[in-house]
Amino acid sequence: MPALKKVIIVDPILCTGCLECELVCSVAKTGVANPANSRIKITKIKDEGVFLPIVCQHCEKAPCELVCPTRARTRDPKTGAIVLDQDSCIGCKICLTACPFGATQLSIEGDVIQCDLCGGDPKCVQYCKPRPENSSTFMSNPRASALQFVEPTEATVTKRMIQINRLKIK
Amino acid sequence: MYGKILRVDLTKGKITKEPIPKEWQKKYIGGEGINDRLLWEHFLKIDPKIDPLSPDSVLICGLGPLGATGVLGAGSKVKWTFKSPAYNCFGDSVGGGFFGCQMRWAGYDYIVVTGKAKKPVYIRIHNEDVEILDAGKLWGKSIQEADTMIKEQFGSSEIETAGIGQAGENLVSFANIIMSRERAAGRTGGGCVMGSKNLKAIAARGTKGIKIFDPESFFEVTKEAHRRMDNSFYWQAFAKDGTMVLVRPYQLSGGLAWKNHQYTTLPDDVFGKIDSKFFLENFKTTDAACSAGCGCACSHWWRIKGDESPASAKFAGERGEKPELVTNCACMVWGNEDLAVVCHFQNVWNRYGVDVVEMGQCIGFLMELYQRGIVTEKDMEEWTGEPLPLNWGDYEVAEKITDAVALKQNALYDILGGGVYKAAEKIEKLKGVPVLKYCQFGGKKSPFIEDQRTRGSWTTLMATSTRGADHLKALSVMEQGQLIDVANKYLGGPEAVEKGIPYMKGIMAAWEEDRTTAMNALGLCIFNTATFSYTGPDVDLVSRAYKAVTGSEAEDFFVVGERIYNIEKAFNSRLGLTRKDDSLCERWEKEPIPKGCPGEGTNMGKYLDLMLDEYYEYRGWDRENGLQTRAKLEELGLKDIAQVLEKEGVVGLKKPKAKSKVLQESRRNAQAFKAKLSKKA
Repeated sequence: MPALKKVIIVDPILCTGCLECELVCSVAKTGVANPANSRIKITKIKDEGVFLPIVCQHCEKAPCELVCPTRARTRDPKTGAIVLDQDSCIGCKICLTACPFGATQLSIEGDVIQCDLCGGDPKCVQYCKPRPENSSTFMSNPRASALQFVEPTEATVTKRMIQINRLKIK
Repeated sequence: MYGKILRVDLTKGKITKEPIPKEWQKKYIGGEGINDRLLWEHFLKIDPKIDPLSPDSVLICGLGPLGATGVLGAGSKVKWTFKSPAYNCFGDSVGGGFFGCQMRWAGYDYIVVTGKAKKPVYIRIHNEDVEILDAGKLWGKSIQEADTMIKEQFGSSEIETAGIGQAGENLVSFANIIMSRERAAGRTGGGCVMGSKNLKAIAARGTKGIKIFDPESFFEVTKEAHRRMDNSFYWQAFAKDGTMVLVRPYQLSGGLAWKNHQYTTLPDDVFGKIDSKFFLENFKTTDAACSAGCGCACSHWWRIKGDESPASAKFAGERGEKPELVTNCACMVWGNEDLAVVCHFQNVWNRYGVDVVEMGQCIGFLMELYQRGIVTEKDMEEWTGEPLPLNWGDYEVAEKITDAVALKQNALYDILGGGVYKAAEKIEKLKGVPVLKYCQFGGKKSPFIEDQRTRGSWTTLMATSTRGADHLKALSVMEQGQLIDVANKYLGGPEAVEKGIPYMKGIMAAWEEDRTTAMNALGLCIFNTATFSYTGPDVDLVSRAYKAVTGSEAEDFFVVGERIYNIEKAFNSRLGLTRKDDSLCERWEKEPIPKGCPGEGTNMGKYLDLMLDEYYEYRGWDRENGLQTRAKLEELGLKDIAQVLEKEGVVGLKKPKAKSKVLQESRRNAQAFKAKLSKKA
């Protein structure tokens, strides 16, 4: 049984780079609309129109958890998410090196920050607006948003369904 | 919460920061409103009649309090305000992009640039640090190249820029400011003002963010807005096809300007190759949002493979961010039949930073003169060194004309660089033949690439708009979409949206101006807000969003919109503009709609005087000269502005009637007109 109850999965083709996820994340976590302090990050290749949302995957064998010298990271029993105890964190930043995705980061104030799945109902997913069905022949998409919150065992099924829908629409 | 005003004096190299007066926040909300107030204050010290390109001129950039916060999921639109070098009147320009967002995240809601740098410079903003840097290496480059160079220099891809291409450097009067590489603040020549200041670009990066007063209601209103978008037909259409979705309704209602407005619809075989369906099936790759917090994302990325259309092979491999409806229309003006060409020209015009409307009109105008034998190959040889034939739809020639103007290559720059109306005057003088009647323009002698003769409120707007003809000062979705519910709710009855009735249309124009202005003041996108604010208690939802972000109660947005619009009008009045400047060209006012086009033989333009009378009366202005009255300005809390206008003798003398009375009278007239029509039928 995986520890994680539900996982955020990403379909970059559906991402429009609007940063709404970054804005709502920062408002939820800090009360300030500031993408620089968002736990989710959209990486953009501007002149090619490529947008890739990067967010903590809450790995089953999480490198950030393993390397943490003060054991500041634990699993939230409710969601299975890796959560960071700011009081135990000494700010050594070794987790930044260990994370393979760059999902753990420093806030503007210098604290290590990472996604905690908002206790089981992530704001970024709630406010990620779905694209209209079959938005382009290249996208061949069902009406769906770039971010989805599903059970880990379902993640692959969901991904497959998106692909099947694409074939169907084509 | 609000940020600060950043002032940069390029002559002295002085940078100052100041808070936004509390009174302004209340009275003008922000964005377009505070921009206008800043412009007004600037020109109290400086003679408003100066050359717009003088160092004493001012360039103001502002993003309203809801912009860059993500609230409502309604995008972030930046306003640039200045005195227009293109039309020599009030000038402002709106655009998307992430530049304004970074500016707000850095803590500044407004940037006020004055003076003129000795040599090319750019302004770099990183939170508290603001510096003026040498732009020697950037000068002469396209704005996209300059953007890449600035990002590389600071090693950050998150820096966003607003700057000018070669057209702005060469002081083409209709040069644009381009934000975030592709998002143009078009019309009226902001890029020209920027160029006159030797300012290549402003680069901003902000990591301070915007404090949200009440996060809980922030989420509540945003959720509600998303829910409304989900149920909105407009959202669906815009999210998928973008503004280009409007080609179809415009074709059906006769809103296009085929071959320099000679026809108001496209030939059927052309339409199929140029509408949004063809774009979606052949060129579009993915959706993109133009600015932060947009739940609609009406922009797209496209790629030309090479076999989609006849011209595609030439542009194979090219890609870019979406051609808008306006780019498509601007190419129709010169008879283009190929969507790949539209995609290509979106890139060309954005690279140089020229206004697509004015450039398209210039090319279309020359082509009509060629069609009529007034301009010949010989003239073109004299002007450009090449005996270019100006055949409809010839995109190679169109690109050569663009190059000539934007890069200041030859005599065409002198003829077209001041815009199409001035070009007509110059050609008239050169050739000794009357050509002004082939030049299409609305108020303030500014052209537009849509035909508005079937729709009364749009006809009026083309004349009254404070910055000159176009649809961004007032997006009359009410008439375009025949929204009877909205007409019933706000204008007392359905007559306003009924076709062929000239009454109520002037009133609707004023109402739409106020609504659009308020959305621009908030920093939201007017396309986006139309998707949810038309269908429900719009003012309520937006007011709640304003309170959630700033913590203050907002005044009625229609009143604020009206107040802001009155500042713009007052600025124009100080320049000597009156009712006679709220005019239309001969074709729009007098010529009936051509054969075979919707509304054939009719023209709402012939009712212009009537519609203007109602417009001024509803606005509480003097209908004789179109000037504002003291009573109305005082009612709006603009006593100080009334005093200035009175001192300068540009104030209306008639006592204004109450809005409700004007509305009542107009409805009665509309009903009588309708009865007469049906009797005739």
